[in-house]
Amino acid sequence: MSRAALTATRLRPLRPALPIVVLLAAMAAPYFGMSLYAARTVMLICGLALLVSSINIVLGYAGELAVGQVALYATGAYVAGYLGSAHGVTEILIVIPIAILVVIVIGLVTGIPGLRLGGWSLAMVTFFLVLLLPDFINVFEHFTAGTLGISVPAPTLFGSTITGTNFYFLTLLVTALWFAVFRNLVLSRHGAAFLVLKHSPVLAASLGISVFRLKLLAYLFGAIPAALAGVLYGWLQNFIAPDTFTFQLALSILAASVIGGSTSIYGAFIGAALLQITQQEFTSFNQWQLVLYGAFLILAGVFLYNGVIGAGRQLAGVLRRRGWWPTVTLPVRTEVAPPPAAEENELPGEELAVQGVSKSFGGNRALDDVSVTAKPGEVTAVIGPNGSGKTTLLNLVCGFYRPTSGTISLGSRTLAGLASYQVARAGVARTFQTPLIPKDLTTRQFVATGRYIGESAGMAASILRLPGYFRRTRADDAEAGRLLGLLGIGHVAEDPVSSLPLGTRRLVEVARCLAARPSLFLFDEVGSGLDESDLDRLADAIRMIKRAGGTVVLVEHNFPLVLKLSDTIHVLAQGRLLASGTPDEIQADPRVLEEYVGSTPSAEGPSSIDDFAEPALSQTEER
Amino acid sequence: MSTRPLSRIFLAASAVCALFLTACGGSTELDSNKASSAGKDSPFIYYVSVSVTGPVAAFTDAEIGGFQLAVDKVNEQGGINGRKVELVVQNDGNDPTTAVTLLQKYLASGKTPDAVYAGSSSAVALSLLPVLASRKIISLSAPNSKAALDHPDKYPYGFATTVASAESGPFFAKEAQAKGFKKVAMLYADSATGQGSFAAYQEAMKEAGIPLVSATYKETSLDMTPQLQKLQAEKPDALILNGYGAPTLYVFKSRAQLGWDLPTYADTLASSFPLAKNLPPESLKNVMVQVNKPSLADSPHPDGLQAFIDTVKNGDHKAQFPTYGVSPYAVGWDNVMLARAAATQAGTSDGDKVKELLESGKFQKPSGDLLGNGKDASAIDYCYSPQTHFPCPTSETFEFVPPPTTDANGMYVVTAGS
Amino acid sequence: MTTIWSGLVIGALYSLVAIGYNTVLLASGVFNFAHGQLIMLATYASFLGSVTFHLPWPLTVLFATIAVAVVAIVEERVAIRPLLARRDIHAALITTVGASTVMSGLAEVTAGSDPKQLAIPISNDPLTILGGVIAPMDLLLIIATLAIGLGIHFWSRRSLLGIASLAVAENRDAASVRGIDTKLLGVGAFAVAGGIAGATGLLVGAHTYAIPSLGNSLALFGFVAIAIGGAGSQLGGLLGGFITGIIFALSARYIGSDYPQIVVFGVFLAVLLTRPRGIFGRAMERVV
Repeated sequence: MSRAALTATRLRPLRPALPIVVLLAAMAAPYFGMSLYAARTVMLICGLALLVSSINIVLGYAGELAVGQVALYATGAYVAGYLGSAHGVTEILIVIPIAILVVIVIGLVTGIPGLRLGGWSLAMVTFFLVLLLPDFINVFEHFTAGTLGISVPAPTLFGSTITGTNFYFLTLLVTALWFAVFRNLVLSRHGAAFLVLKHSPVLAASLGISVFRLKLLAYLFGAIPAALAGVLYGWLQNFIAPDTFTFQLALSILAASVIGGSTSIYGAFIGAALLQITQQEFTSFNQWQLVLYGAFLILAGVFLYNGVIGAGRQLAGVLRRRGWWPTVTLPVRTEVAPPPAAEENELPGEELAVQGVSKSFGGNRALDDVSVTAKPGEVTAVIGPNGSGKTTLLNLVCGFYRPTSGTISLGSRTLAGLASYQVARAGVARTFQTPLIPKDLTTRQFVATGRYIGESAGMAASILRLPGYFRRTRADDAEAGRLLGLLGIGHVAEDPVSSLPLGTRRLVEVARCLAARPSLFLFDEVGSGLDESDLDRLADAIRMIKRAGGTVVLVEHNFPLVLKLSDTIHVLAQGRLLASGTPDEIQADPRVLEEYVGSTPSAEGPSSIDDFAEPALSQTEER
Repeated sequence: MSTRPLSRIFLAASAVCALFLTACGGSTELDSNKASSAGKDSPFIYYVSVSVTGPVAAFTDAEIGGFQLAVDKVNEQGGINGRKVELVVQNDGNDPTTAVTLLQKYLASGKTPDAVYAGSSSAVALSLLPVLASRKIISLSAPNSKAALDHPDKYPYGFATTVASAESGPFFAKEAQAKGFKKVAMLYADSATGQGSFAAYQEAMKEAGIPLVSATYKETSLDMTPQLQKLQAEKPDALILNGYGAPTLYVFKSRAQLGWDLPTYADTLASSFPLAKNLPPESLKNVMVQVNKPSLADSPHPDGLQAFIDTVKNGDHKAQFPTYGVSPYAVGWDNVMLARAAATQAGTSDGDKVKELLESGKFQKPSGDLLGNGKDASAIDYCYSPQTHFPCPTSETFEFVPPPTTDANGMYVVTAGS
Repeated sequence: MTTIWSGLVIGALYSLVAIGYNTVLLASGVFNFAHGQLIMLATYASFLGSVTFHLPWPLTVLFATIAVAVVAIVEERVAIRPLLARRDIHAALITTVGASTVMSGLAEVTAGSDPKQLAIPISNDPLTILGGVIAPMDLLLIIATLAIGLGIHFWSRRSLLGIASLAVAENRDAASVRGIDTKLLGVGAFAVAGGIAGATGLLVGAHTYAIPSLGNSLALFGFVAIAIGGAGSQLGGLLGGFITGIIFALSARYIGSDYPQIVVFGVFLAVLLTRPRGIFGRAMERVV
């Protein structure tokens, strides 16, 4: 390792301290002759950054577009204005909590209908919120003084007025505290859960996360900084009128978020600073101001893909490849290679019983009176050509569909009728035909999401970084590492999970399922696309689960793999159960042979048969 | 990833932050550059915060033309108290936040304005005035919203230089009584200006004992038919219209379409927009606009006006002249002239002294220099006192006329007929 | 009835914006925030044609159609094309807002902020129809909007190109694999949207005048029309615009002008809660 690289590696742990250094510098600035203008600019940037962080939580982390920050911002400002001018309440420690409370109520009122329905409804509802703001301000003229605006008395802390430099410190303090909270939340398993949610609500649900509740939580959480920014703005400006809270501002916030990088923490500051300063400076171009600002937005949108932070990362990547930038080698926390005899502990396997289940989509009967049971300590395979109903069956078990008739139960619990996240919480873990792999997470973090619902959520513990948080994180990390090691892929623990090849992704999904310690494993096409060595490792893992007493349902195309692993095989064809039995029985069943190897093409066309038959035959020959 | 050390640092930093706030916060002050040297060598800074973009851009451009000509003239005559006048125009985009930021940026550069023209909207003025008050800077502006701004206790250094549009209320009430209107309707913009104006009319009509019904419109409205119908249903004898620009055009179009030709009075705000130029005569049947009497071609004019008009027509800001006529230029001009008169008579531009002079009633209006208020500035009375910082109208201030056109001098000409 | 006519006129304006939004949205999956500004530019182009150049109205319409289509193509090239490779809809929001700001800024710099009156080819004496009063140009505006909206709706259902654009909206990669030239389709959509805006510029401008602030008002209310009618549904956008217009007019007439938007929001929520799948076009459900 070169000296530069070594230095860079040593300095890396200090990198997270950079924001603190910036904060301290900003706090020291008034002692070095900072002008009111500079202070005001910093305060405006802080306010905009708070608003941007509000969008970042909702859009960058939870993946929902919401544009209502301006309305919440206005609410914060008006709460400060109304309390101050009508009731003389200016105490910071009273005003801020009330403002937060009010925006959370607004968040609930708008978030529940907006999020229930998914799609663009939250964007639309929040758009209306901004559009209606002036109307509401007029309708509540008694509180808001209507279009004339309202003056906001200076804040007080324990009775003493906070103005000038003290107000500058207050703004920095509130902003810093919020960003500490924000950072601690998103750099925790909750942040990982947000990213999972953003990438795939289906995956989130199958981890036991209630998509609606987590999105609502993100939305409400995002309302808080908007309220803080509003209160601070009111105090800074001393006067507020509806003209300030326009849709144009909403677009500026969105622009700052995209420019700074939506899925980042401190990118909010970069985006906010860029936007605030350009807007401020462009006013001197008079009539040409709008043209220049528009051109700036186009250029920023085109070139700052993934935000400034993303662009920086890309640049660093290029420099590194050319060797112009020291490569940082992370201290690899290699999992000690598992001793060959490594065994999974006892798994709480339960029996899955699917009884006479049918499922129709419109007039199309996808499953017709199918009964399947899977016992603990056994591998139960479901095979059949494409369109035979295998995945439909899995989705029914997982709660993504409701059966038209029939019952599904796990142990003594009935699964049919539960929402998908409730099914997951009942102890069902699954993999996906196309692995669902979120961005911006390391493999270890991703595997740890399997444990998200395991113990108490501890959001407060995460934000405050209480000892419980560290204990839990350590345990999560250790367990994720152990499982990756168990599957023989401990070396990828710190790699971005989205950078892994398909075979490894499937193994990672198995590890994620194991992390949940479920009663039932559902493996959907887990063997397809794997090379020989990956397949061996997968087979070992499944056998190990079986030995540990887990219940495994294997939905597979890979006939040899199924024959090798299964205790019982169910064959589906056109939604009906064609045959059930041991591998030997199935192999000998003439109907099965006709369905798969026979010359009758299935309804789905020849490709599905090829998919199935060819590798099966060739691999059988090899053995 | 390791997060532990960071959280400790954060806690520590927050603690430090809190300490700053409580303990030593008071010991320092943000540098507000108090050392403004008002020596003979430093220029007299005339600071203008206006919007050169958006719907009022053209009107503002004409005002700026007036400021510039006046400043040139004053400098030619030796400046103010021996100091050259420097005109500083800032583009606030009509946004209060930007306006304050720009002012503070200017203050941070170490210069202090001697007089400020604080914005073309009341929201901007209301945001700037507290900052100006803290620096004891006099502002002389032409705001519309008297109700919101005329509070010498809150904004001790803010003075208005034009008669507030709110004064139109009592003026109209007289007309309404004279015409014997039993019920009057008002349509106004859903903005601070509109709301303030409505309040003034409401009070005046209440005093006159004439019921007033009202409707508002949004400045983004593209059609006014529903609002007019709503008012029409109330069967008023006359309609007052407040507004500016395209919305007023929509009102008259809808009014014509409805065939509703009741007596309609456009207030000064609406009249500063060239209605006759943009609407066919049949849309303006029974329409009267309230104009500033000095803007009429056949009113007696100040001596210097013709020369001023000629200069404007050949100046940098002549583009707006054909549309708006001379009055916005005169507003700009008069503001600078007033600032000179106040600072000269007080012998200083110190805020407290100027304020004291203006409130004392001893202020002599510089009639010879003023161009926008008729001959001898008879259309305005600078009746400032510790109670009001707005000038009073005189019998020469307003007049109702049919929608005028402008003559080559930019003066209103009432064409016979209607 | 006059109130209803007035609502229909405003509704037609909103529908035109919604049609523009949807045309681009369906073909390239982008929300073109600048469409309101394209209509604003169309009124200026029509002003140039009808007043400055004294062109007869068919030439004015032709001139405006071509001019605005060209602007739209330039917008696509500058603000959309560079983003296509990465399919980042949020960046497109920013760049189209940027394009929109540039357009209104340019209009203000070159034409000033005052309204300009267009020359109208026919007498505009109000007509009395079904007991309500309406200006002939406004009636034409309503008819033209209906014709364009229905035309483009049926065209997109029946024609190969229309179906291709639906396919692209559904899944860009899949469509591209099937041999659809998605790039050309994207430019085409912008050109068509711009052309429609240009062609209606004279009718729109006859009602609203040519004024820079028109773009922002239209952009906002076109969004409302989309919210009510459904993004990605031409028929929905058309109806959404008219419904919004009528609600606006009726509530301004009978309740008061603070309430139209609140009432529209109420209707929006009602639609959302009763027909959650019906109001949004299929295209949108997949994008986010």
